[in-house]
Parts: sequence; structure tokens; C-alpha cells
Amino acid sequence: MITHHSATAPVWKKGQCGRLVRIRDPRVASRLAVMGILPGSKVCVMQVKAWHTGYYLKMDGKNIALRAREAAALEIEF
Amino acid sequence: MMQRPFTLALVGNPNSGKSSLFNLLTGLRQKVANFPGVTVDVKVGRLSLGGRPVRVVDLPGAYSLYPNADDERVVLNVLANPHDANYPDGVVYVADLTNLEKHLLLLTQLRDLGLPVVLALNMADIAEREGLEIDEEKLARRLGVPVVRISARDGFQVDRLRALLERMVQAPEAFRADKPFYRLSPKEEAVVRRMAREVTPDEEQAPYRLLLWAHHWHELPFLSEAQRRAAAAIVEEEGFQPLRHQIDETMARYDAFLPLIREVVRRPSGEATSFTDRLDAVLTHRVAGPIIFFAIMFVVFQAIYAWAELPMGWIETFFAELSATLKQHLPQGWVSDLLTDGVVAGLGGILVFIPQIAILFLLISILEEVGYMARVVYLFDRVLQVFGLNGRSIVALISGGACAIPAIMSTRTISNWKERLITILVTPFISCSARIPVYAVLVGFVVPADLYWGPFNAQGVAFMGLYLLGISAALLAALVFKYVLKGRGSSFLLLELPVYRPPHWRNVALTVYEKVRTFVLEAGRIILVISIVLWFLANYGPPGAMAEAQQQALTEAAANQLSETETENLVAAKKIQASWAGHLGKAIEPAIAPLGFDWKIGIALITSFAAREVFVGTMATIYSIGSTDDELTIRQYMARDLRPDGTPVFSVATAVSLLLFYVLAMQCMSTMAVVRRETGSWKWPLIQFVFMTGLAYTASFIAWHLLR
Repeated sequence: MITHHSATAPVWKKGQCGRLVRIRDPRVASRLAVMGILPGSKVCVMQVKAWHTGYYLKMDGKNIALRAREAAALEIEF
Repeated sequence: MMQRPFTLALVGNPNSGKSSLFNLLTGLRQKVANFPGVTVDVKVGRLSLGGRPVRVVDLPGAYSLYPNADDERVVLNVLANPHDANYPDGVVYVADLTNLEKHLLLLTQLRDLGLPVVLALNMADIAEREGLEIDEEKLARRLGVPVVRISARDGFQVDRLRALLERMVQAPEAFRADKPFYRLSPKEEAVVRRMAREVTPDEEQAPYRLLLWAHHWHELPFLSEAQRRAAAAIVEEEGFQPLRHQIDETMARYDAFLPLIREVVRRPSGEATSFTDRLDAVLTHRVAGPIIFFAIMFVVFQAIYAWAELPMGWIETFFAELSATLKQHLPQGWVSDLLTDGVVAGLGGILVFIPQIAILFLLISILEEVGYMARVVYLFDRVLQVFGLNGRSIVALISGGACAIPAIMSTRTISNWKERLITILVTPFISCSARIPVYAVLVGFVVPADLYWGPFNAQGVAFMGLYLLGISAALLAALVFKYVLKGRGSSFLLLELPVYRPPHWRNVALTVYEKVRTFVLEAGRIILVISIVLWFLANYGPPGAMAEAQQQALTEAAANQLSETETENLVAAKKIQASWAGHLGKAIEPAIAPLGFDWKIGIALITSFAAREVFVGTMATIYSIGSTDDELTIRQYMARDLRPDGTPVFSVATAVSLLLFYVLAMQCMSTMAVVRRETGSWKWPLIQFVFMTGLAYTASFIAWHLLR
């Protein structure tokens, strides 16, 4: 059941920093936008869950936890 | 003449410190109100401003009027509907001054709804400590709303806020922005014009409100069927794409206020790598995180047992004394019996849980206040998702080990209804402290006390097995519900982890007070009624039968030359056999015989419905040894009991069957009362009762037939 999502999930490493280029899923985009996180925001990977099932990101100064499925919508340029 | 109260809403993002301000403004003059159809709590408090009564409504935290969860939907439904009972006459918008760029979106939307608004910049104390400076006047001028810096933590400038609100109550018009913050695009304008004409021709609405209706017509229950149809048609015909327009609008708003914030807020140079980041490096680590969490929970669990023991003892002693005093001073008769054995015993049975509930919520609200609970959600979300639960369910499941009542009350933090419901339904499977006395008595019939497997005491292992069985049952049941129940809203996790902050003790104290109060009033009423019913059933029987039983017992006692206590015990035993409860036990005997239970166990099952630990007391009464709690003697008496065919009633098979029953069955009226309260109807507690007890019955049936 776990591998189902990680097939499409991004494989980021802890400590990586980059810039958010695009958000592919409009639902995720709207959720992030209301928190002030828009394309162009700086993103750092703070924690990675086992098997990349979830991430703890610092996005534009905000700490955000999300599931792999939601993370898959984020296009980040490292 | 009574003036109509002014409705003042507190609005703001999650973690803005809105509730702290609410507590500061209203103190204990507040209560929780439920919104129809949702389980999100909204607090309402009272206040007087310049002699005018003010109703203060603390709306759930929301990021914008484009909702992503039930609580945000409540905010939208209140603010989009001018006829809502909680529609505000004025708004205090609470924003975190240290994070202002993330907190202004919703404010600009409120302005565009034409609501009178005051902007309260909260956490001024922290801002000052961090060396952050702000030009309030400029911000107020450019946003078109009055601004005041406050700190809900230490009350800084809250008097200034009150003075502003006094003026707002007198002249709300002066607090309305004169022109909208966001200029509608041509497409949006076209939609709004048609909405005004076709959806609400008789009533003028703010253009932005009509835009919101166009976006959300399908989730605004206050619109009539005709209005929804009209809105749907307009959206369709105009080719209006809600999601795209929503993102465009959001970005346009940010583009307008971000430069403004850069102008008015001055931060000290140098990035403050925060304390939060350093702490989270350990607390949310994939290995260390869960270990630390279980360590914390272990401490919480210990505290519930250890700290609660003493006050629980006081409460029990107090009620025992009260009962004895009443018995002494009231004339003997049914009034005295009802008061002492029914009402006082029932009250004591409720109030004795207060220390456990208070301690659990004290610790949990501290963890919540400092910001740790959001991390727990992150840590366990994935694992629990497999079972249809949510990261937050883990708090309930672990607290359920002490008592299901506070555990179920703690599920309110789960915003997805289905995940919350599943958590509520399966939490009572976790073995609570009330099962311990029952396990202690029965395990002895299955496993000898002196049996060791290596270094492990076999009884201890059996105990752990019972706990593991409960946990497995909870997870498996959750898995079944995951596929059976229909979801309300999709499950989504995109969670903001707030910065760690010291707790607001005032909030902690209020949470504890409110949970205890709710428990005593809501659950307490039902527990009291059922205790009285049980008292009646155990003390009364068919006419003449009780007197006859007493006479019989006395004769028997005299013949055998029993002591006074022994006589009393025998009378109690005979009377319970003759009582309605005894009749009920015999009546359900055919139903429970396939599980290996006789009528005496039947009585215990019925009385155990009040609370499981009553099993021991009931067994004690039936086996005529008074209400002693010494397990050994009860066990000896039980072991002596024989079936008509000469085999012992409490064989290994019966004991295993009974243990399984107590692990799995729903036998706690307090829990059912709380589930009813939390889910808003009797439907769910009844479903829970049926499936838990059904599962228990099946398991006991199989066990008895295999082992017999």
C-alpha cells in the first residue's frame, strides 16, 4: 500500500534547498497560496519520512508538513 | 428596554492567537456552540462595551474564504450569509505580527465583504523581543482599517483595543473600508452582475459576496434550491473557472499587500535560525521523533495513573462518607436508599473520573499550546492513514488506555469527519483502566500465578496479550470502517507546523475547565439516570419476592449460626437473586449460555454496563461476600461455584470467554453518552454498541466452544 504513492512521489533529500517553480495540482496550489506560498518561494527539505511517504518542508519561512501525494504536485528547482 | 446585542466576530488564521484574545476578552463568560451539520465548535462569549451588550463569536481559524476543511467552511458560511445567526456586526481580525505577510489575505477579503473591521496585530511582545518594528499608522492608512498592536499573552494594549471596539459598537459605519481592496476582473464582474440580477434580485449584496457565492454555491446550504440552480447556470454559461479565478485573486491580493508589508515592517538583519528548527531536527526526526513521542506519552500515562490516584481517593472517600452520613441521618426507607445507593453512588461514579480527565487535558493542552501536537500528526499520519485514521488519532488511541471518555473528547482536533468518526468508534477497544480489576480477577482462572516463561511472569504476558488484542481489534475495526463508511470531504494533509512557543496558561486552564465541565454536565446527566435505574433494578423485585428472599436468608443464617456480617452478605446475595436485575440475569441466560455464562455472570454483565469495574463488586455481592475488593477471596468464592453437572462455573473456557467479552464489548454507558455528545446523535453509539458487542459475542462463543 505504501509503494503505491511513492511510485509518483518525489525523492528529495534532507537539507536540500531550492526554489518552487510550479505547483501542478490546483488544490495544493490554492492551499499553499492562502498561506502565502507561491511559485518563486524558497523551499528547504527539513525532514524526510521513511520511504519518502511524507515531507516536512520550510517554504518561504513557513513550516509545512505534507503527504507524498501532495508533495508530488510541487516542482522544485534545486 | 433591552438592546439587541452587537455581534463581534474574532477572525484570523490558525495560530494567530485568536482564541487567547477571546479568552482574555470574555473570561469565563463563554460557552461552546455547535454549528448545525458540522462538528466544529464555535465559542460564544459575552462582553459589555460602552454599556451595550456584545456577543463575541470566536470563529475557527481560517486562511481564506476558500475553504479546505470543515472549520474553514464554517467561517465561509457565516460570513457569506448576512442572515446567519452569527453574522457579525463587526470583526476583530487577529494577525500574528511576527508573520504578517502570511496573515493578511483573509483580512483583505473581509474588507471586501463590507464588514467593519479592526486589525489587531497580536504577539507584539514576541515582535519586540525579536527587534521587529512596524509603522502602524501607515499600515492602517494603506489598508483602510484601524490597527492596534496587542499581546494576548500579557494583555499589552488590550485596553486600547477595547476602546476602539467601543467606538465600533457605537458607529460601525466608520470602520468599513470605502473601496474594495481587490478589483474584480472583467469575467468576475460579468458573473457578479448576473448573480445580482438572477440570484438575489430583491436584496443588494456586496459584489465580493456574490463572487463567493459563484465560487461556492454547492457548499452554501443557506442558498435556496432555485438560487443554487441559477448560480450553477451562470457559472456554466459564463465559462467561469472557480479554481483558476481563485488562484488569480489570491495572487493579486498578495501582490498588493506584500510590498506594503515590506514598507511598514522592519526586521533586524540576519536570519534568526530558529529555536524551532533546532528542536524539530530532533522531534520530527524519523527515528528519534517517534521514540520521543512514546516517551512523552509514557509520562502522560503515568501521570494519569499516579497523580490522579490521590484525588480520586479523596473523591471516593468523600462520597462514601456522604453516603454514610445520609444513611445515619435520614429515616430508613426507599428515599434514603435511593439517595445513598442511587444518586450519591452515581454522582461519585461520575466525579471520580475528574482527576484523570483534568490531568489528561492539562498535559495534552500544554502539548497543543506549545505546538508539539502538529508534529505528532506529521509523524504518525502515514501509518494511521493505512487504517483510515489520521495522525491526530494517535492521541485518542493512547489516552484510551486510561479512559475512553477523555480520549474521545480529544478527537475534536481531527478536522476530517470520517477520520474522526472512525477514531471515536474504535477507541473503546483500547483496554482502559476500568478493565484492569476485571482482568486481574479472571486471568487467575486461566494462568496460574506462579507460572514463568523464562524471566516473564505468565500472568503479566497474558495481561499484555489482552492489551494487544484490544489494539489489534481497534486497528482492524478501523480498517473495516475505512471501506464501509462514506467520507465527507477528501483526506488531505498539508499542515502548517507552528513555531514552538511557551504555553498560554490561561488557555490551558480554560481548556481543562471546559472539558471537565462538559463531562460532568453532559455525560454526567446520563450516567446519573442510568445509575438510578440500575439501583432500582438491583434493589427491587416482583412484589413479595424480595421480602421472601430476605426471610429465607435470615432463616438460613439463623440455622447455620452465621455472624452478623455473614448474615448481611447472605441477605444481599439472596435479594439480588430475587431482584429485577436477578430476573434479567435469568432472562438473558439463554442468550449468554452459548458463551459459557450463567445467570450470575448475566447480572454482572448488566451491571457492568454502568462501568466495567462494577463486575468485581457485583460478583462480590452475588457470592455474598459483601462489597470487598479483595480479589483473592472473590476468586476463591467464584472457583467454588459449580454447575448442575458438577463442573466448575469458572473453568478455563469460561474465564477466557469472559475475558474476551470484556476486552471487546461496549459496556460503558459513560462512553456511549460521550459518543452521543460528540457525534450529535444516538445513531453512532448504537452502531458502536452493536458491532463491539457482536464481535465480543462471536469471539467468546468461538473461544468457549473450542476450549470447553
